[in-house]
Amino acid sequence: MLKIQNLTKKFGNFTAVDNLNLEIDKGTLFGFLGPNGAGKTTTIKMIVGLYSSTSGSIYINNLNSNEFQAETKKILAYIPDQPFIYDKLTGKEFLFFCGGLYHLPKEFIQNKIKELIRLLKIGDWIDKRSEVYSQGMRQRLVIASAFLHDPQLIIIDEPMVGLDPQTAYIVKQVLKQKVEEGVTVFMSTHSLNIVEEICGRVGIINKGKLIYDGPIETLHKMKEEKNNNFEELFIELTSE
Amino acid sequence: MKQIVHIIKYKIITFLKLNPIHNFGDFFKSFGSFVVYSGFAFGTYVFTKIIINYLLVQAKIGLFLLHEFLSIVFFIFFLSINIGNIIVSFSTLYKSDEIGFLLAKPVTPVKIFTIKFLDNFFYSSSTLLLIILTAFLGYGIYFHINILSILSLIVFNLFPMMLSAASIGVIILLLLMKLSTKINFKLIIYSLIFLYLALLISFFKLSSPVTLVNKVMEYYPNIDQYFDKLIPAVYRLLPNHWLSESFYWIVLNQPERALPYYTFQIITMFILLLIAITLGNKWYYSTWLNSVYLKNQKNIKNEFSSSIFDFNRSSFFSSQTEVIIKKELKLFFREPSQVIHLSLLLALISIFIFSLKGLTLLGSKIAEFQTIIYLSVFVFNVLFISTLSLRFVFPIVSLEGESFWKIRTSPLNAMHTVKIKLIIYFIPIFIIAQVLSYFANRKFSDALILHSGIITTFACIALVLLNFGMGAIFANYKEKNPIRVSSSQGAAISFLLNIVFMVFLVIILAAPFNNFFKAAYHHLQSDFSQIIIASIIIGLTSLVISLVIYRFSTNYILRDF
Repeated sequence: MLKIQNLTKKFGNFTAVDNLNLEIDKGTLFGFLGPNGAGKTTTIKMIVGLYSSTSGSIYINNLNSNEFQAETKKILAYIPDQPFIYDKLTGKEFLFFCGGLYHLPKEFIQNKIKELIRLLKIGDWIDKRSEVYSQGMRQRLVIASAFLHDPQLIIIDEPMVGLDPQTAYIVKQVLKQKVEEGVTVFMSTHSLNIVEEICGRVGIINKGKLIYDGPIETLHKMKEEKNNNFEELFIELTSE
Repeated sequence: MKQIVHIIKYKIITFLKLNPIHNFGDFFKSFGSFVVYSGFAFGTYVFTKIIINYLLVQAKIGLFLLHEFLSIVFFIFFLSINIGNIIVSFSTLYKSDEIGFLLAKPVTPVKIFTIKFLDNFFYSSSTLLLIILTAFLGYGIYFHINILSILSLIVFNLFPMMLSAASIGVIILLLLMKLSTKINFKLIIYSLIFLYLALLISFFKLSSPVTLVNKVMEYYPNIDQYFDKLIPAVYRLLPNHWLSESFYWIVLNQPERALPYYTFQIITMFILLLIAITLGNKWYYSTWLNSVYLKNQKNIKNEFSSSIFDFNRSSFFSSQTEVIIKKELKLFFREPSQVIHLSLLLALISIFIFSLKGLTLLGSKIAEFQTIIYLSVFVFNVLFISTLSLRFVFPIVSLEGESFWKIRTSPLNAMHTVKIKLIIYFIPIFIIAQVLSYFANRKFSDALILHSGIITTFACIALVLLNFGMGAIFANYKEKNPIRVSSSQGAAISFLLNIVFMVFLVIILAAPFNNFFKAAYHHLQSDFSQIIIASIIIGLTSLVISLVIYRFSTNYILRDF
């Protein structure tokens, strides 16, 4: 579903992502770990088309994302770490706006909004302007907008930021369910617990280089060698 | 006081670091800004000298009339700062996230009020200040005024006048916010717009430049005397009059007669500043709390809820185009500063159209005079196009804001979005420009009406795209306030380029029109070919400017987000 080939991103002399190679199959929940400034968000922004790459290629469903931008973006959904939305639009208007960008029929959007309001517990907030939303409510709305067009690949940057435990639980369940339905999830996070809990495969990036890529089971074995402490293992892997 | 200085220091540091130079593109932008600013400053300086020389030597209007005209210019300057401060202060004092941040720190509301007041004053008046300072220099050098006198005029007369204008602005805003707890806010705003328009009309009725010129000309050739009795009593109470009078007496080397005006100016400034800060201390925090309450209480059903713009209603556009149009219109009409500014500008345009009734035939017997009037009206039209473009088109890329990620990651080309937005703003500006062009030319022949329509079309395309392109090059996705975007450094440079374009139009059209009116005056066959050649030059230049700037802006819009 997602193939990253020799991907590099440089900002002047600084190399944020250095020759990254990854291949993620359909129906995988991939956890992308790394310390601050490791290159997680830069990688994600290149996948979703917000950054151009200095070199290398990204393939989504075997289509080069650079050459087939519209096609690849149709099957992709992005949930950023900062849920910026148009302040003066209501939640419902924002979702209709997003649906229109994907050419979704009005009736489909209407039904989907009803379903997502219920699922993400947005309630009456949907008819209020998003300028009065809390961070968590904004995050819920952004997640709803990502699920609107039934994407095959979901790219999430720090999904649980600002969510209360109840919503975080719902999001985790929804992601698991999506993966069971065959959707691929590429999730960047700082939370080792979430990775342990829901990810099937893990990649660790440090200083722009992928230093670990493998199934969560291998990481569990490595963890056992470290007195069952995932934190210690992570620090050791990403230390200087 | 120490705390205020501390916060201002960091605001200055932030401002200085706004445009860091990381690469050649940044350097090019900064160097280009420097060249434009310097060129414009020099151009204003030269233009001031030329225009004064023309009015005094060729048109022979005399020192008194010159300074009465200056007074009108200063009045417009005063009003621009005043209105600008009301609108900018509303956004920065009541809507900025920074207020919440500062209020959570041990900073008293009156200090926040003072900091924001100074911030607005310097931020929104900087370009106007650049223009007026270089004009002052040109004026001073033309009349051989010593540098100390020019400095004294700037520091003790001009600055106090500007601060008075800003203080009145912020006092009015505080009153509005206080009243909004009792009366409907929209009603207050529309009443204020009506009040300002009435003030503007009254001022021009009172000062009536045409009547004044006629009355002074009755004394021709002895027009260089001081016509004290021609100055209306109310006029003597206005700061713009004090400034022009100070100029007048300093030129005549009688500074002692200017001294009272300096005193009035400074005392008025202190009184108004004191009132502003006292009211700020008394009302700012409570009105800020009220604005937060009102924001949370908004009933969305009353706002621009026309069914045509409902998202769940279909239209004949493609769904992507449809949602972009609906989103853009909803965001525009839900932003009070956009609606207020638009209403104000439309009202000014209406007054301008109304006042065109008697203007065009004023100098029909003298070709040069006719050319000046014709081109002045034309420049005013173009100035309106430029103002509308700068105010509403320049910010369109920035106002996508940090939410632009949604469009950039959707299967819609970002440039397509921008094109739709551009068309949304271009169409009304184009219609307004054509209406202005028609009313300015309707007393001339059909050929001139048609010609003006064509030239206006080219000017409109060039100016809209110029402001759009500059807005894309200087895009600031973090700034949500359209007024701050359109009064940023990039907007100032864009405005200066607009003026360069307007000067270019005047230079190209001046000689052909002068010859045309001369021929008409002597009842000779009018030579339209020169005007056609001038129009072709303007058309081609406009298209080149538009294409180059559009191409250039594409790179900036599609860069890393």
